[in-house]
This record gives sequence, structure tokens and C-alpha cells, in this order.
Amino acid sequence: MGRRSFALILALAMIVSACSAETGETTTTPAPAETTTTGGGGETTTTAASEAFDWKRFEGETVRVIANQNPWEAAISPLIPQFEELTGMTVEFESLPEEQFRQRLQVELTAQSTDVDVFMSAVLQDGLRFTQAGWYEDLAAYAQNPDITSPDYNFDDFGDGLIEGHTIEGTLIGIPILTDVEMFYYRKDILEAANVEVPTTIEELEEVAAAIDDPNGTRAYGSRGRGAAAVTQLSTYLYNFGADWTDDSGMAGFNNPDGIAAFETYGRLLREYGPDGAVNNSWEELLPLFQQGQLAMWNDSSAFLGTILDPENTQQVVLDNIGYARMPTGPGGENNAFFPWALSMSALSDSKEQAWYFIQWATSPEVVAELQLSGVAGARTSTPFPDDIPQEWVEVVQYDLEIARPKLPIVIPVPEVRDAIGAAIVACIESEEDCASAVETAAEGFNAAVAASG
Amino acid sequence: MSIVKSEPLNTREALTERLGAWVDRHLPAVFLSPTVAFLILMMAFPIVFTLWLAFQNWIGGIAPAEFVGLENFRQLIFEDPRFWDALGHTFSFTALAVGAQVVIGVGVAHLLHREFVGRGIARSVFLLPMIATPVAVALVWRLMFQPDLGILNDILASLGFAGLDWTASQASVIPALALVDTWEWTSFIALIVLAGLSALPEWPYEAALVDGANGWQTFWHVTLPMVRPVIIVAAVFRLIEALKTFDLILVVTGGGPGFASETMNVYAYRLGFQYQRLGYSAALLIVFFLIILGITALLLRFRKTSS
Repeated sequence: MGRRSFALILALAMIVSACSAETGETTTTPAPAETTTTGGGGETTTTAASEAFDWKRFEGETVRVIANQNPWEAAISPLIPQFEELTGMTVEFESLPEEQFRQRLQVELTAQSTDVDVFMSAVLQDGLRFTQAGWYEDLAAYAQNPDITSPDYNFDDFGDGLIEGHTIEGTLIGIPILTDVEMFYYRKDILEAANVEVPTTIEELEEVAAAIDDPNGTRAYGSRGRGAAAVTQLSTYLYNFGADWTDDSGMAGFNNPDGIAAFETYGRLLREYGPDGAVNNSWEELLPLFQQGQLAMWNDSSAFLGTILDPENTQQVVLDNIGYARMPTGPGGENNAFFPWALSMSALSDSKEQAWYFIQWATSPEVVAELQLSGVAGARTSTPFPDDIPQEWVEVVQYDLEIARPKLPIVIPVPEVRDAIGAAIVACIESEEDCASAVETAAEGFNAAVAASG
Repeated sequence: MSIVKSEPLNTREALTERLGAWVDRHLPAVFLSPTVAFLILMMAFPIVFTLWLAFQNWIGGIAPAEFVGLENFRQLIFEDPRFWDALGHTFSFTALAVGAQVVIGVGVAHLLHREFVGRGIARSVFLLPMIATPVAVALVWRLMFQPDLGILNDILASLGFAGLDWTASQASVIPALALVDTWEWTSFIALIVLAGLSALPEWPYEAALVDGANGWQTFWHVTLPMVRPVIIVAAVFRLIEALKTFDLILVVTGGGPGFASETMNVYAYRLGFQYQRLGYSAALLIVFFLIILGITALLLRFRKTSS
């Protein structure tokens, strides 16, 4: 197990280096005309070669896709009729909130259901466990097979490191669909009014928060506090305080003075300057609070860009004043954290080639370009961001992808470990005195879960 | 021709007759078989399977089923603080919820028992929360509890009080959940007690009137002792239900913040469906089942001795 997780860390390190290669390219290549035209831009790329490819091969058949509700899912679901028109197939697209999504998928796969064809998968959350269970179909063979893959697909376009990062024990577990980093969103007008600069260190963040916080109005700072959901947000703090989730042996590595300082600081920021009910807040609560102008600073996935820029749900004063910055650094240096999503095929599926058709379409150059219009950062190196996306955001994403580390500990029992760490986060938000012992308890839970799985 | 035709008819008739005779001979078994089949499939099998599971170490996708004897139970009782916390949460939630429901429910039943204008309407309105779908109720309360956006703190603010944390604090989450359960199920107790009240004889009241008892004395010394068996039955029903509460807690808090409202059922759900620790989860449910069984037995004995 130790060897495997080491391999995964290596692979993830390669993702990072690949992404840096990718960012170099995107900054030098000007956006092609068809990707910058909004609306219907995707159609312009239907070339002679793709007409030769038999998209109608499985006409009349059905693919079942289970998706987690996130920005990628929100951006792809309106495009699905295009796939149905192209192939004549029917897509049963089920999207569920994250917790229900995970549970539904695991129950169906544990029960050896053949009905699941395609599912969204996060390598950091599910990778080791699903591989061990044998639930991933190896997609490499499909992507290289000209009989079922369009000549336009251009598989080599995906960064090598990203593909390596999604290859566990020689199996390509999914085609990456979404890369993100942790983004620091803030309100320029509020910071200006208080005559303060964007915080660049965690220390400055506390000072700025104290300066701008209004307990009866706009709160200074928000980040996730709801137990397990907050673990991905704490990662950047943990790394920037110089600690890590695991030690060299794969056991808990965050129960030391650096780690405890990270937990305490994170808890104090949310307790003092965060919206009420911080321990129940996840992105589902914080995103609307930011959109409604009730939060001055907020960090979460960079993938929320499209949702934030939606004028239907975001107040004009917010839209006019959003700033994008790197995460504040700490005594342990500057780090960021990422959480990639992929589209996987169930090894138990009874219609695998049909499933591949969907995955192939959803990760095709045209669809990735169209998704990127809504700020969903795809994984194709040749697809640039369109010009109308805030340049500040693009710069932060490109910079941070180079220094990003995994948002979750690389272990098999991720859900259990997340719950254990999450309980400590809640305790640290509620009171600073109980924080250190709660972190110790979390480390014990962490080690017990890892030992049991191993 | 006619002979050829009548022969199969004869055999068919004979067959029907034989079948009829067989059914007649085994009438009870035939009538019972669908029910028995259903029970075996839907109840006996899951119980036996759960028992088998509880002695296995089986982590879905990680470790295949392997017999480990009493290991799951040992770990649960001696090494798992979350189990004891969950047990504590289950009991404190149940005690708060059922306690409040019995007191308020008996009071309400007493009020509704009196004659007044609009009594029929009042009775129906009072029963409404019980009819609502539990998950829908839970979702609405979850929104109302939200400290920033929920209506409960708005109401408190308009009355000049400071807002509460409701489900957003480890200290107040269990009382907040008990409040929802009380809102939904008080009418259940009231309904049963009301039926008990209507069945009471008139003469003890006449006697109390003659003796000069006031309203409170009549309620305390006459009504309450007479309806006590009914109250206990209602309380036992609610107690068993409250111990098993799952949908409400899962939807409103998911067992949080942290593990502060994680009851036995929510913990079992997490173990089984999220951590995939199937054997361990089964062991926990068996322990929980034994606890409920014990409490129910105690209560029923208490009822027997008291009546």
C-alpha cells in the first residue's frame, strides 16, 4: 500500500509539471477565432474527418451516466442534446449532490450492477479504493482504438503528467475533465473602502479581516467549515504552515505544532470573521453569500468562476468588484492545492463501447473548448481560455497549477479519514482550547482507518 | 372424433380435481405460503444475513468478507469513542424529544377534549404536522435553522432577541433536532391520549365535583391516573420511533457539526454506505437492536406492574 501511494504522489507531481507545460503554451498561443465566439462556437469545428467517423454506430442505444453536481456537470448537461443528435443515442444523465452521488455510485458498484456505464470520478477521493475493487475500465485501449475513436480525438493533447496521474497500476482510470486550484476571491470595493491591500500572507489575512469585518453586515472572510467538506480547503493552510496530511509511512502527519497551528488559525479566522453557523457552511452556503454581497473574502475552487459571473444570481455590485488572488502564504511557504475530476467507465458496464462514445464526446476538443467558455478549466493543452474570462483569474490558475499539491491525503479510506479530520476542523472553529486535542483525536481516527484498510 | 376430443378434456378435468383435492388437504399451508415466502425473503433472510455479517470483516472494495468472530463487537465496545458518543446522542435526543412530546401532548389532548367552538377544526389543524412527509419537514427546518438566511433568527431579531446557533453549534444541535421531532410528533401522543380521555367514565368527575376539587386537582388526581396506561402506550410507541430516528437527522444535520448529532442510525449509515465497513456496521446495528429490545421490555414490565 505504501508503495502504491508513493506511486500516486509521484504521478500527481507529474500532473503539476505537465500543467506547467500546459500553462506555458496557453499564454503564448492566441485564442483561435472559433473558441472565442460565444454561443454555437462548438459547431464550427465539425470537420470532414469527424464526418467520416461513424458516430451513429450505436443509434437507438442508451448510456447511463452518474454525475456529481459541480461546475463541469452544470456546463455539460445543456450540451447533452448535441451528443444525442450526433449519435442517435439516449443519455440517462443522473446528477446528484456530492454526498448522495458518492453513496449511490458505491452502492451500485458494490452490488456489481451492470447498469452504470459512465461516472464522474475524483482520483484523489476514489482512485486507490476503486482500483483495488476493480471498478475502473482501462480507458487507454479505447482511446487508442481507431475503430471506436474519432481521428479528431487527439488523445495526445492531454498532458502526459495528467494522464499519468490518472493511471493507477497500469490502468487509465478516467479521462480528466476538470482541473482546479484554490482561488482567493475578494471584493475590491470593500478592501479599497477600508484602505487595505489584498492579503498575501495568512498573518495579513487576519489583519485585513479584523479591519473590514462587520458582524451585522458583510462578514470579512468565509471558507468551508462543514466537517469533511472543509478538508480540501484546509489543505492549503496546512501546507502553508509547513505540515502535510501524511508522514513518510503514510500515517497521520498533521498532529504536530505546525499542523495544529494551521487548524487553530483556520478555526479562529472562521470563528471571528466568518458568517454565522461557520461549522455548517460548505460551498453551497458560501457561494450564495458571496454572490449576495455578504462576504468580502472567500476561498474555494477556481472552478466556481462561471457560477460567480452569472448575472442571474450575482449582484451587480459584486460582479463589478470581484478580485482574484493567490492564496495567502504562510511560514511554510507558498503552496496551493488541487482536486481534479475525471470521467470514468465502469468495468462492470454491459455497454462499454457505447460508454466510450459518451466519454469521447465529452472530452473531445470541441466540447472542452465549449466548456472552457464557462470557465471550466479542462485538461487539453491545446485549448486556451477565451478572452472574456478575467485575466486575473487565468493568471492565478496558471501560476498555482505549478505549485499545487493534492487537496486530500493519499490513502485508501478517504471518506472515513475526511470525517475524522472534519470533526477536528469543527472543534477548532468552535473553540481554540479544544483544538489541539481534537487534532490528536483526528490523527488517531486517521491512523485507525488507514490501518484497517491496509 | 368425439372420443379423441374428450380424452384430453377428461385428463384435464382429472388434473384439476386432483389439484383441488390437494389444495383442500393442505388448505392452511396454501393460504399461508405467500406470506411465509414474503417473510422469509424480506425479514428472515436480512436478519440472518446481518447476523452473519456482524462476525465478518468486510470492507467493500477493500477487504473481502473474512470471519473474525467477536472482533467487531470488541472493537465497537472497547475502542470506538464514536460508538459511545452516538449512543449518548441517541439517548439525549430521545429523552428530550419524547419528554417534551408527552408533556405537551397530554396538555393538548386535555384542551382538545373540552367543548369549544371550532374544536373540530382545531383538532384537524393540530394533526397536520404528523401527516407531512418527514424528509420535506426536515428540509424546511434545515432552511429555517440557517443562522444567516433562516427565518427563526429573523423572528428572534424582530422580537429583540439575539439569534441562536440552532444546528450550527455542537451544544445546541441535539435540542434543535428534538424541537423538530416534537413539532412533528406531539400530535401523535395527543391523538392517542385524546382517545383515552373520551373513553373515561363520568362518575369519578362527578365525585370530584361533589368533593369540591378544583380544575388542577381534578386533572392531577382523577384524569391523569386514569389515562396513565394510555399515556405509557403512546410514550412507548414514540420512544421506539424516536430511538430509530434517521431521516430527520440525516437531512437536517447529516450527523454534524462534526459528529455532534451522530446517532446510532446515522453512524451505522456512515459505516455501511460511506466507509463500506459492512461487517462492523452490522455489529453496531445488532448491539443497537438489543438495546432497543431491552428498553422496550423494561417499559412494558413497568406498565404491567403499574396497572
